[in-house]
Amino acid sequence: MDDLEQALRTALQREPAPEYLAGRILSRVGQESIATLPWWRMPRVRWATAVALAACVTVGVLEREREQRLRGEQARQQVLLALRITGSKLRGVQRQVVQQFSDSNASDSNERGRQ
Amino acid sequence: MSTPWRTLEALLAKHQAMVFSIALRITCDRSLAEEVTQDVFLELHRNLGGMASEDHALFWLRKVSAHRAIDAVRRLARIPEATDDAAELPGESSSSDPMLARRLQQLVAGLPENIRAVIVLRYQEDLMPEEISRTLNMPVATVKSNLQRGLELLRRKTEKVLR
Repeated sequence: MDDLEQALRTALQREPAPEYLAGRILSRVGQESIATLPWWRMPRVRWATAVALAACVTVGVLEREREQRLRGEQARQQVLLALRITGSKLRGVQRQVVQQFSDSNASDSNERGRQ
Repeated sequence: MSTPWRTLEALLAKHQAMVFSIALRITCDRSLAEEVTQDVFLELHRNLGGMASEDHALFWLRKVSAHRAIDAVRRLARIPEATDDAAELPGESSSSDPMLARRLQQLVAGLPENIRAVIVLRYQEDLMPEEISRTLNMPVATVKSNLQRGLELLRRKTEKVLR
């Protein structure tokens, strides 16, 4: 090997790559991996699916609560109606009882007046 | 199961300087060399499954780096001139004569890209003409003649400095 070849070997030593280069390469590899994923494995699609599922569950829970509240309200109305009916029946019976009691009192006093 | 060398991170840590240096010496442009290095490793990532051994990966990296760098230079139709402007050239090497090293780097940058690639693979990567022939898909005779032609050109221009 002559002087020139030796000088070339020294001059053409490997140059270290910039420190940021490896990070850039790995980041590009990551982006490429995402870009080549099937659509249902894309992070955005996954997030959208998760949000849609969460929304469905929330709406379901709220709807169930609303139905339970409605059923409770209906039951309350039925109980109130039953109480009103019972109350009016009781008032009718009471009126009849009072009427019969006053009728019997009146007939008793007529009887006593005749004697 | 993947062997440790087969991860991109491991190959990147071990060979990025080699890929970057080949690209830098052939393109003589730092940003272009960075671009070439990124493209080479992205391609490696796509072909990682086809690498039979670490030596195969090393051979593949050298080959693809040299070809991508030559393509990049041709695409830009850019033939670097042997000027005194060292801005685009690699930094100082650990040569005992930094001025000579700088001058040689400039002169290598001014060689035609085929000869430049052969010189870089011979003196930076320490490859034999047969290995350079396989790397550049070039007949061994062509590699040897390119090598001789390159050395002759460099010798003529550095005669005074080396004397």
